[in-house]
Amino acid sequence: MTAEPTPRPSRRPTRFVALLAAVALALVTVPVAAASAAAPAGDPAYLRPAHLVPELGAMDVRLAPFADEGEGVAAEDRPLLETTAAYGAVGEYGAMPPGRYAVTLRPAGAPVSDPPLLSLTVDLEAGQAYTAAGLGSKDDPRLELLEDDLTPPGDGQSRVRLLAASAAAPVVDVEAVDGPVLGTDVALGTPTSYESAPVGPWTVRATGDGADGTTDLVLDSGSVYTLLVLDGDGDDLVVRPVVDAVGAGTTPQGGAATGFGGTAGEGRTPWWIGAGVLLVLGTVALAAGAVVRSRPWARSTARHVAG
Amino acid sequence: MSDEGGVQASPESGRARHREPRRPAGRGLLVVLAVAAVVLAAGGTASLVAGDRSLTAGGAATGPKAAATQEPTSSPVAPSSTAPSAAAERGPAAADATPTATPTASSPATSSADAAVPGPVGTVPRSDAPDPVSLRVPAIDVDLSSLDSLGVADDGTIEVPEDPDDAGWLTASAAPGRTGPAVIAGHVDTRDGPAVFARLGELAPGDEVVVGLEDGTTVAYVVTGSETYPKTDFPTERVYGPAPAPVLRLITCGGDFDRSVSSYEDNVVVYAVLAA
Repeated sequence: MTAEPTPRPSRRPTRFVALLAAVALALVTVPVAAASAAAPAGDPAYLRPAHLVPELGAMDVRLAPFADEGEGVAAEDRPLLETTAAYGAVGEYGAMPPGRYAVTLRPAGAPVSDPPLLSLTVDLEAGQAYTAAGLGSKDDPRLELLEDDLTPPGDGQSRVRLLAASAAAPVVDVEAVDGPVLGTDVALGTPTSYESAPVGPWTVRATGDGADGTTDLVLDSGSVYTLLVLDGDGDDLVVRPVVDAVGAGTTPQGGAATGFGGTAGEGRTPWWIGAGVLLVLGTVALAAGAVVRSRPWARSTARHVAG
Repeated sequence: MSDEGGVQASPESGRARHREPRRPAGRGLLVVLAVAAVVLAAGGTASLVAGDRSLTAGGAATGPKAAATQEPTSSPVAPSSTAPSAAAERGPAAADATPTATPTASSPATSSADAAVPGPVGTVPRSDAPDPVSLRVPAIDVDLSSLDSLGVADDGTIEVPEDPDDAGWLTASAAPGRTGPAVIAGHVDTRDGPAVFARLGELAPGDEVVVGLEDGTTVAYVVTGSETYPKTDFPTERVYGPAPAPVLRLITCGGDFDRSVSSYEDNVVVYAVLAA
């Protein structure tokens, strides 16, 4: 990757230039590696709550930082997030400093001094998105931290995962009418992995156990969704699209040509000029050194000039 | 990704842009090391050093002295005298100096980039949220009362503002204030002096960025970080990829300028999130 000057016949300049190139390569490799890191420092983590336990009443959800690192107790008296969620609710993402938190779920209105119905310790990483979701059934609820996908969909694609949360139909099939099948045998409380789905307005149908429901929705290019399958009235199912993340509809490739060099300053000559000059100078210097060493008169001349 | 090529205009879109060839990073560093070695090793070989200087002057529009005094300032740069090199190659359509949301009828392949107009079969209109119309970044004295609309060029690269004093919003990116990355790009300099985003790299976490929308409301962001990337290793996913909340990315050029291809080697990207 580093442009290496053409070696010259002279041995020492060759070695010198090779060393120079190696140093340059080492120095260049570091920032390139850093540039590939997932998230720049300072990025928050994103978290939202979700209540997806059918037939379970409204819950108070709290997210609080641990008072101490490690096994400390969560400081629930100063939660970063505090909301009441009814079945089917998915909150907005909140930006949180990355770190360790406790998530607790209590019946709505219960005092914080009550032991939580469910609790979970989570480590949130910078730049990542999470859903702290109550999942499962009324008799066997659980609290889980879902990682929400931020992978860019391909061109003209979206990404979709399914999350079945219906007591009426514990296992469902989901398809886009006149379009792709989005998932089969999707089990209650177990999110599918994200899959590419073609963008467009779709009618999405969920069926299972004699229950069914359809919903019209739009999948945008570059965006990421979770499709919830919820209990509706009676045997009806409700398909509710939730936006996980939105990306550019068309993603530009490569960098941006946003400069013309007027403030670049001097010294940014093409690399080969610098390398060429270096080679010439190195050769001259070595040759001069050899001459000086091989001819004693040169030393006295030099001393004389210096004096 | 992008073809090899120098400066090029985009006549059909009326917006100047130029493509830059991919090239290895770090050549500038090698030059710096080489020059340092020259200074150390050369001693009295003044004639050769002078030769190097003449080469420098030959490659640059400005001499070494002039370049040394061109510190970035906030003073406006006259667009007429500092027109980007691409302007020389502008097509007739470029006379339309005011970018609009009008779709480019001749390029259906990229029309999905246009926010306001439903695309062809297989694409859908994006949110009809209000477009951004102004940008204020107090920390670096940026105060723009208008914003260009930028699309994605036929070669896949992001279009850049024609006027170096303007910044532009990528219409295929999220509308400011709405979920997703809103992307605003501007030039760091012209051929002769600083441009609108000359000081973008000075932004630090906590600095404020305010975007005004066409409905009269404003969206306030706070800078979380600033990163410099080689253009050959631009983090497309990080900059343009899906975001779970409203975020902002400001883009300009940085790093060393390679005069042999009239291109900066790096891009500076400033990341910001909604102010609390």
